[in-house]
Amino acid sequence: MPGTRVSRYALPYFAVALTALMLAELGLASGLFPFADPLAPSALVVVHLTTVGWLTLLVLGALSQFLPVISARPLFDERLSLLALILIPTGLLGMLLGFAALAFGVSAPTLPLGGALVLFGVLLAAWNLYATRSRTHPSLSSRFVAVGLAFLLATVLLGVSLALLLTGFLPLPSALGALLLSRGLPAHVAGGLGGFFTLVAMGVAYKLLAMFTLAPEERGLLGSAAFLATASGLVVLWLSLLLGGLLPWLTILTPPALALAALGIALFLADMRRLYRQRRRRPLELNTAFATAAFVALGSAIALLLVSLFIGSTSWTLAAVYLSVYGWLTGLGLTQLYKIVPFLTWLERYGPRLGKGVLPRVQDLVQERRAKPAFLAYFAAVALGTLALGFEEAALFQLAALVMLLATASIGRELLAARRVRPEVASQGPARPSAQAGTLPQR
Amino acid sequence: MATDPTLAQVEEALRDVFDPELGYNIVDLGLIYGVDVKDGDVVVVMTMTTFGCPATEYIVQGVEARLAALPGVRSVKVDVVWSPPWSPDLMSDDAKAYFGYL
Repeated sequence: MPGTRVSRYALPYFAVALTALMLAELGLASGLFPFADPLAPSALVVVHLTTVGWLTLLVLGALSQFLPVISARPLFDERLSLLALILIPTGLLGMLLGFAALAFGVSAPTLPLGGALVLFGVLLAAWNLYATRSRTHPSLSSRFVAVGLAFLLATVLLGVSLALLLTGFLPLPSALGALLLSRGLPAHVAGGLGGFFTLVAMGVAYKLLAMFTLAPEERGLLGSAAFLATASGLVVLWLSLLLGGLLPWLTILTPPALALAALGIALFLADMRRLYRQRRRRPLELNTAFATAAFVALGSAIALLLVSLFIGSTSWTLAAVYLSVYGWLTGLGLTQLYKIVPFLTWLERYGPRLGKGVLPRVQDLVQERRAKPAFLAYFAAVALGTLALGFEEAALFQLAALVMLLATASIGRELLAARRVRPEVASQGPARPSAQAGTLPQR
Repeated sequence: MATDPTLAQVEEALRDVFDPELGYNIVDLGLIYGVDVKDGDVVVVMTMTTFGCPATEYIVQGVEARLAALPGVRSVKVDVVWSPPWSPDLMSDDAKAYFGYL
């Protein structure tokens, strides 16, 4: 039967990921991200807590549950999910210790060692997901996810190479080492942020939001054009950034590749707008309502990135990256967790009892009115943080990060509340119109 | 020998089974494509709102459990089909109104 069961480890992935996000936000609020030096060791701690600890674990946890949904096949091997969940946070801890040591001028082997553990964990998780994919008719969502996973591997491999180089464990001629550092870092950021996170988020958004809003999953030409433009633009961008040092003619392709990827994202946003308009479930739930804030953040981040690169403003480029990480990716992640966690909780707790008595709906496990201010505060704080970064107002940025931390903690508390078993909600039961017998078709 | 449940009884029973995400019963959502009752054996042909839905097995088991509890039912078989695919147009007017679609 092409249905899938609850992934045993999706919720633990989300718990570890949310903890890493809050630690990263604490780091931002504490001033660990110096504006003048975004590559300082303390900044790298915050960056990797966000990208490896939060976003990578969030995406891998979500895919372990939703790739089977997209592909209509069970997850290849649950044990690989568990192993990756152990390896990636352990490796991240080693990396963070390595970055901390760099701050004191010490090259600790925990940095490349931790990076290797993260790489191994990611390889296992990627293999598990790759083996789960649909082999027959890949949907639009799964095409986004497949290219995203290829970018994940490329990003982690490049990241480990950079870690080995930074700590002196990769003996390259100095000219080649300098070239790899200067070209590899932008490719690492573009491959991770654009290639992996954004492509996967776009693919998951197509499936989840169509499902949650009762909109058509078939997206036609606009969806295919969004995929082709974004994916091909990012692949060429990544190659031109990485190999442009060795093959200078490739750098000519960087601006048009960036423009093509931006066009693909614009088409995606236009298609999302169309999807919301086509929806049959008119009242929006909290997760689908606030997902629109994440889409606004994505569009604004891309516009800001293009303008800042054109005028050559480092601070606004940094602001655009921040907006895409915390407004678009984290915003979409937090809003959809608000639906996914109660849904998985429902399946786990109440699924086996369906048909045997009165049960609550997924909606009964959450209190949207109570959670709404936290989402409002989160997105407002991200907007403030973006402006603070652009105008280089450090104190204001730290204040914004503190509000983000408090809002995230509040959302986390709501998710924990949804996990609690509350027998009283079971008495409400699902919506049930007055029975109109005689509508069932007879075979 | 017990008498077969009527279609109305089966329908009423199936309204106790619901899609957890949409929070609405599977009859009014239009997920039931056909029911056959003969000599205590019930066959239900149904679909899901989306291919590969994680709630599929639970909903099928829910249908089996609920119908098995009806007097006169000896066995329940549920066939999940994907053709024709489900569409919101298949919902009852009550369900359409509930989702603001009507």
